Amino acid sequence: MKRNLTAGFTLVVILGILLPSRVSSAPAPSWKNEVVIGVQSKTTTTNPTAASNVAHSIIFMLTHNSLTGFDETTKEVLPELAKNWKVSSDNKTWTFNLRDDVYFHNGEKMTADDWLFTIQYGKNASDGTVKTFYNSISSASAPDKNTLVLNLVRPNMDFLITLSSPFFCVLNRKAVEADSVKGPTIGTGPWVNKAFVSGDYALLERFDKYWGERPVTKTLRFRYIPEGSSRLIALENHEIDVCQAPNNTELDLIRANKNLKMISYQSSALTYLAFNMNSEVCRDANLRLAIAYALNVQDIIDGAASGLAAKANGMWGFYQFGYFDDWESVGLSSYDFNLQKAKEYMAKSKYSKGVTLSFMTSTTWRVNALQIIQKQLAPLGIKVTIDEVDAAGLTNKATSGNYQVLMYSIAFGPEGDDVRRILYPTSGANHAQYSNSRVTELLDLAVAEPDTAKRLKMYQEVQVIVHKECPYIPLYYANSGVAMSKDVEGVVISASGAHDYTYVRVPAK
Amino acid sequence: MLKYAIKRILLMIPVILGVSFLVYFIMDMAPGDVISVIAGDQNLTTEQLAELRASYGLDKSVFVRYLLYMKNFLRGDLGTSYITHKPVLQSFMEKFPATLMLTIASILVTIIISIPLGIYSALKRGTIKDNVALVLALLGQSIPSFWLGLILIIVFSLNLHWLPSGGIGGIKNVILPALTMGTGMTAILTRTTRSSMLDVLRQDYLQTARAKGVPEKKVILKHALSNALIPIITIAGSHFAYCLGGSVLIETVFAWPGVGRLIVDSLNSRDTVMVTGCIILKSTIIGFILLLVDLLYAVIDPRIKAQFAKGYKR
Repeated sequence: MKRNLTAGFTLVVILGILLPSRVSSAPAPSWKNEVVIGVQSKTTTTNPTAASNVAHSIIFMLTHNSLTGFDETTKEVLPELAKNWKVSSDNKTWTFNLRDDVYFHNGEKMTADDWLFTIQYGKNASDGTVKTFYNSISSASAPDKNTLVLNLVRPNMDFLITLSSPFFCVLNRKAVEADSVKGPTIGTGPWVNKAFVSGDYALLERFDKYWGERPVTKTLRFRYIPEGSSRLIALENHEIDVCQAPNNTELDLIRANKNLKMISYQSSALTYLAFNMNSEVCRDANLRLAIAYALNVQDIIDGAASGLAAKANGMWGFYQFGYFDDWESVGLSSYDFNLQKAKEYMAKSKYSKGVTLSFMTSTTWRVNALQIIQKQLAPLGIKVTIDEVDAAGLTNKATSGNYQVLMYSIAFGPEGDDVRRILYPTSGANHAQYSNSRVTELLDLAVAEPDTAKRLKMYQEVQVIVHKECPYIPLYYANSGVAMSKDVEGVVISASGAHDYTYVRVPAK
Repeated sequence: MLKYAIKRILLMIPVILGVSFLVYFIMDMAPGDVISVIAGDQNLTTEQLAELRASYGLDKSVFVRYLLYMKNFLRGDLGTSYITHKPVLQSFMEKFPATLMLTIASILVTIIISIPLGIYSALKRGTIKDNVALVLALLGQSIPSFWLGLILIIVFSLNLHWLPSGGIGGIKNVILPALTMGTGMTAILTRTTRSSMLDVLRQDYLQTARAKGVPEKKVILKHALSNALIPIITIAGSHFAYCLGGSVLIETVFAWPGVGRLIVDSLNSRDTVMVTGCIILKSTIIGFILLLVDLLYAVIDPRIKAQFAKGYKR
């Protein structure tokens, strides 16, 4: 009897140890099959070589992969389709070791030959940025199926970061040669292009043979809803799970709704004024500096951006390599509002008795900002006229130099050399028509300089020169946000607006 | 009648040619071109921009480009979009069914509401009920469609959860945009029906019909309404043709993927080929709709039909 009791007790103890771990383990979460994202900008293509703006990059980064990836938080270049790489001593030849387990959505295995094809294809791309990038590669070769060698026209220390852009991704030779329209839409990413109607929606389906971690969601639908209020209502009505870029005037509605949450972030889009340095009036440096110190940027932010922006302290991206704004350390001062200083500069300018200046812009909210600037410059005797044109008209007038001052926005990437767009004399986006031989020289030297400290010093010198000469007045970086149902997980926010929805998921109810 | 229809169709040809010429040249006069949009803030040199412009054929003069466009048009090719690189006809036909669905729905809403309301208002002329109907008509004409659309979404979608807030789908998706689009036209058609009915109600033959013992309902709906239909059909037909061109405001508020947004987006992108092609297609469709409306007069009014009859002499 005693032996039976002991055996029974032992059995109970054993069962007591085993059973709770089975009974109390939580069931695996189940997830909604489809997540719907409401987007504010239209996509016109799913071919990654045919467009290079933010709206398209959101889709391309899901369907295609690049050689490298980039972590915005740590600023590190990460391996993606390339496991590792090395560069020659002259910084012009890059050798990439490719992953051996990558498949395209059509089942074809990725090899270095697909990259050779992609580079050749990209040299004739319809998108200017894509074409220019691929033409910076003078030649490419594949010593074996998992090794890719790229020779650059000139050294470029930003090359690995630029390679991480979703537009520079591998295409399958067989797919593109078989179908020049659908072929480029076949990628290696975790999501497959299932259906696309321009101006309506894009439907992506999970790729089950993806080389990386598989998402748990089965399909992603990007619905184009151009009107901000309609987009938010669709979110409140549970027709979409994520609402990109809600109107600033409706943020309180989102915060008051306990079923929603809002992720706000500082956008990398920098709003600025550009003086046309070929215009006689704008060539007056004292006039430019007078305007710089007469602007109360916080008032402009409060009036035109509902207070949702951060004052910019330099004509550089805040998360861009080489950013510098410690003006006092170099004997300069920030363009902070100082009416007395502004009047002193105005008194030294050729237009001390007053001048009429035309400010050109597109979009309504920038017009609101210019109306505030109009009032702020009046005490200096500067009469501001506002010329509102649409985006195409503005670009055309800016390129032809047919303006005096331009108000515009630009989003810099993380590459230090990206500032070339606004400072290099031959660049079409150089809206100040700015040309300084030392700045041009420094930009060309810095992009090829492998020593980080030297490179930072060069970019600092560029910024000091530009700050002194004031062809641009940086105003602010606007805040933006993404609203979503409170239980949405997995959205990775990017300052550029190209948010990563690879692993977005919503618990099933 | 067949001769008349053929004559009208042939007259459409110079209209389409004139429209294509105007649109093409006006687009060219606007500042900027598609390269300004494509290049945007990219780091492209002046030479690269010129090369890009040449690749799109934009280095040629506008006259040469127009002639090349018309040469292709005469072969049935409306061109390829500068932005999407898809054939214009394909892009238009992708969006047209959505616009057609919305137009038919809005016309049905308009007719179902405005004709009974217009008849009622005419019969109750001078009374409070007539004034109420007229005020409602005025309100409908005055309310901005953009605002009305958002209010309908807030009430019926967000608060009552009866209908979706936007996007294309089944019948439920078309109700709110059709109501919004139809409201302004309902107001106009109600007033037109009312004034047309008032003209007819004064006619002596209606007294004769009543004297013969015809029920009042039949007097109004058969004898009066059928003679009041001509102006109503004219307005409804014009509205139908106009709506087939798409309504940008409705399509924006309700995220409706129709022809209106396609044309406006193409305008903003300076996609001259797409805009010209869409306007040509739109003009052709409107021309046929207006022809059908004219032919419908003959169906409704025997006097007009007699004019088409062979050998009819005044």
